[in-house]
Amino acid sequence: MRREGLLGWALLAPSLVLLGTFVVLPVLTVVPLSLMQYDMIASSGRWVGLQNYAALAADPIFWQAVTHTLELALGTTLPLLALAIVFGLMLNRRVRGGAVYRTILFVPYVIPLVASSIAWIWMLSSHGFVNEVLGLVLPVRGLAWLDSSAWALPGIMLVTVWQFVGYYTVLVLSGLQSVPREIEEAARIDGAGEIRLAWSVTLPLLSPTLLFCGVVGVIASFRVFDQIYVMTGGGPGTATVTLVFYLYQQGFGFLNAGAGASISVMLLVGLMGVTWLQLRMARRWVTYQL
Amino acid sequence: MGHVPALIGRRLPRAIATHTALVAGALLAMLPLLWLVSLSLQEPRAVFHYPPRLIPERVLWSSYPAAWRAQPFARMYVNSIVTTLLIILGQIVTSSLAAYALAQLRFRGRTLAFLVIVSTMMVPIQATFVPAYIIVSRLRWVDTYWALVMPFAASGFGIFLMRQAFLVVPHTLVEAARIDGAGHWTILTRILLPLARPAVATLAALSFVFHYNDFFWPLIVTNSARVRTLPIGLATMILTEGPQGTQWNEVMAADVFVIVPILAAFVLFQRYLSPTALMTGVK
Repeated sequence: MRREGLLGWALLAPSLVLLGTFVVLPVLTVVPLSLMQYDMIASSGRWVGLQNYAALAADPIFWQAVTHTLELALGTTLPLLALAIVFGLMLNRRVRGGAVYRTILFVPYVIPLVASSIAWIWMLSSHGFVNEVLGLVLPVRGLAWLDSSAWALPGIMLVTVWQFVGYYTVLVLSGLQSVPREIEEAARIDGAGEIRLAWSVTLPLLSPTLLFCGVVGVIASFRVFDQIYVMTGGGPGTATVTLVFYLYQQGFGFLNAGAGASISVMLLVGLMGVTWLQLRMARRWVTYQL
Repeated sequence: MGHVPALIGRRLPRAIATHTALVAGALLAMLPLLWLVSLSLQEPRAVFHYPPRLIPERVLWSSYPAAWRAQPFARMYVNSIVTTLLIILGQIVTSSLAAYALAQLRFRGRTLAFLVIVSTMMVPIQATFVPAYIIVSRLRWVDTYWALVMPFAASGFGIFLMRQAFLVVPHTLVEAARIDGAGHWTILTRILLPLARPAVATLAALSFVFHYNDFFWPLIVTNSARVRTLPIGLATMILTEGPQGTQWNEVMAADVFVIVPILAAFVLFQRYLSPTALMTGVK
């Protein structure tokens, strides 16, 4: 027992030291750092109390960043869930070539976002394919998405949905495969149509998976960075500045570590709050199988 | 007899609708990538062409050698591949050792250690970048491979995954080996790791996707081409305009350089990106 303890800690040591230094220590120090004015080049700082937070509260760009982060969370998670459900239900019916469709939908997830964002700059230009495709159904002409302060953020949402749709489809599909066939068969024999079956039987049984996708989707949306950096640089103006992007600008653009740390704290707190809210609301709509 | 045509009559339109929707989805998923390849083979101004053209009028290969010279891509390939492989190797070693302790040994504090490790999986990592950068710069690691590799050489997810894989190995198997005189090292390397090969492959595949594609962290801890990785090289290309402005066909060609290795890896290893791995693999 004694020797197992020694060996156990020795085997854990490399992991604990690395995770401790690069994850736990930063999480613990981000709060004190947010109470300092810290010079990253001289690596010295002084305590300033809540000054960084007071500056954030009075900073209109910070509040825009909060709004944009929440808009991005809604504008990516909801379409992603809807599309993943539609594709998941279709692929779950053993369509011919299902594996091929699933693989193709999944490809955008493994492509470096920096690389795909460059293509999306031109997809979203006034004469790009997005307008061409939308033009088939909507009266869109010559909209330069990324130059418009109203449409740049929806452009970022579009890229994010494109990137993740195959990923959530795979998750939904695996959730659907654990839905017992007998329950669906029973409902079908009782005369339920396809739509009714999906709405009243399949979706409730899928709800734990959907909750998982919703929580993970919101977390992923809070982390969005690469496409903003490459496609808009936060602009036009501040139209696509999110919390993570503002954290980058303050902390690493203006080398204002204290401000960067205070935005990080707000990001952590905000994410915890939103996740808590989601889990709480989930009590109303998630059905757990007995 | 009478309901057979009715069945066909209902099923056929539905199959057509399903395939139409799936084909549309697949085309939209592929369109940006196909256009990117197409633009790399057209003249630089093709990005401004209206209507957008997917099939090049004539194919120009010249953008590829030009793109290769525009940034030190050979060096960046080496940096990207070497740092990603070092991270994967580090994660496999540290995770297997830690997972062995957590799955096979009994000692005080084991549960607490496991809880701390699992909780590191839930931290949105960008929120730690400011203090993490200060730590890395205090260690004088800025602009070195150390800064790119060490922060990711251990992984809460990796430990979690390997522990799960070790726990399902039948206890009798391990006991039998121990009675035959096998030590901890033999049990780990000869019994547990070979049986946990799918988990190792999943860890390697997910880690490759995350770290080959990673942008934010390499962006802040590197500043010279000596250690910069492919995504940074790509972003630099569009943010620094040459005398004739950005040569978009060259940018798209460079884009193809960056995408090809990950796409090849995906084709080879996609079966290890299973839904269960993805469920737990979200960082």
